[in-house]
Amino acid sequence: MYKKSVIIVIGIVIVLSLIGLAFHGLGAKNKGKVSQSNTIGIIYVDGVIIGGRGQSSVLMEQGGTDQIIKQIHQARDDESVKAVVLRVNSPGGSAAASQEVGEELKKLRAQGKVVVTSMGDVAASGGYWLAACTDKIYANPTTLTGSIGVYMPYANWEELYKKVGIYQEKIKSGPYKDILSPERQMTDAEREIIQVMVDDIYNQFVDVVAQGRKMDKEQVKKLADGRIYTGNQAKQLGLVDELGNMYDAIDGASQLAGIEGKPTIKEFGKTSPWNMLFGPSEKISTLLEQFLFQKAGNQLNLGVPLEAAPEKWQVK
Amino acid sequence: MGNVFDVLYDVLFQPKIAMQMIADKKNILQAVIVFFLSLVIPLWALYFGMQDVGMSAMIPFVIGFKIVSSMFMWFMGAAVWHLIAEFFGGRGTGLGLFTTLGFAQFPQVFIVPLWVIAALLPASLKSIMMAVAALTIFGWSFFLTITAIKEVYEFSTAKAMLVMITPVLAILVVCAIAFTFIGSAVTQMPMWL
Repeated sequence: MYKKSVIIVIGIVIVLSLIGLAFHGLGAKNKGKVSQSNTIGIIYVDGVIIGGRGQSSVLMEQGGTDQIIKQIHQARDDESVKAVVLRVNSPGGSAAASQEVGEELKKLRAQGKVVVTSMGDVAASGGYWLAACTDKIYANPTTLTGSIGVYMPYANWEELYKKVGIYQEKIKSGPYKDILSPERQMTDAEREIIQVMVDDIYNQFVDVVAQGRKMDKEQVKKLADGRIYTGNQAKQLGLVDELGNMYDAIDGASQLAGIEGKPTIKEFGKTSPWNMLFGPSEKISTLLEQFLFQKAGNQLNLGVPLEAAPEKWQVK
Repeated sequence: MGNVFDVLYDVLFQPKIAMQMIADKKNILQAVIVFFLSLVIPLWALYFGMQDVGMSAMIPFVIGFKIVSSMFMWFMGAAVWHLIAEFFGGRGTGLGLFTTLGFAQFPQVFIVPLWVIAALLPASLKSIMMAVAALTIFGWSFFLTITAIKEVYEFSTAKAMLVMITPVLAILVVCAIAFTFIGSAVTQMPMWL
């Protein structure tokens, strides 16, 4: 009989412990909720900005602006989030993808949330497009930024094809259907069409920068010749507001949002067990490689025959 | 054998007698219930513990891994240890070992009250207490597993320990042999650049 009593007592202790643990957990959650009214959300933009869903699995979630937009929506719907810090570590990407994220950032600001950019190693081109859509931009003095411009990569493989003995024939529905085909020289008319399109996207980019930075359009055009700037230079030229790291950006976001005291930080996006074990996947070398690859892509297109698809448009 | 309360009491305080009785009666249902309680209750603590330290994203991964690995270890452990015990001349049954191993996990339920106590301690002592609690529980389960093998096959403590570590030794030997062969293959390989 005493054995039963001992086990019952042990059982009661365990059940009480379980309940205590549950309350401790809930208490911690509630405690978090009280202070979370002053929350600053952090959204990371890492790597090349490309539209679509990217890669999502149990272990990780990477790339694709759909994920970034989803996180922006989460921040918008989360009432405790007063401000968002956009941590940009990107050499750029496609114009359409940068534009759609930029528009979502504008909508987020229209909802009354403060959005501040913190530039990491590189925040150039499409990365700068996103930054221009935010309230304030912080960059490190050595950050690579700027690169405001657009290019359309095109390679002419005609001579090589002739040497190899490849002769491609096409039956076209219209004269420009195979525009940018690599097996022949681009015609003047085609070049004119592409140039008009590049100019159109460039003007849209300039408009975004002029509007976001409250600068004159002509002034922006002077800076937007495609060159890159250091954070220091960008600050002098008015492309960046403050020099500082991510924590300075968080402090700046706190001030703009009127948060008193230390804000609660909430990072958006799935933190995978893989990332937890092996740290961030985007290293500076990778970013620089991406940046240089993008630059090189203009001269040396490594892809198969190109077609004029929106994702081929690169914001430079 | 008395009811499950008596058995659990004996597992905790008279493990030698308890393991003998459990191996003799082979009550699989009781073993399954005790095993799952011993698995689920610590997972409850693990769930809240991980939430507390902000590792919510890892919870499904860790809990899933824990459930699968525990069940795998129970089934495979019983099968492999029984095979080894038979090689060593043991006279017990696989089912007897399987049942006793289920009960050998019972001390794991104590991780919950111990972690609650740890949670109430100052931050500097918290992690030490948690580690000590986890080590104690691990040691207790290890001791019960040795006792189970001992009583099921009527082995000495040394022989029971040998049975228990033989799979690990076998893996180490296989790895050593594999590395030796790979090493010799690599040294004889022509240099292709």
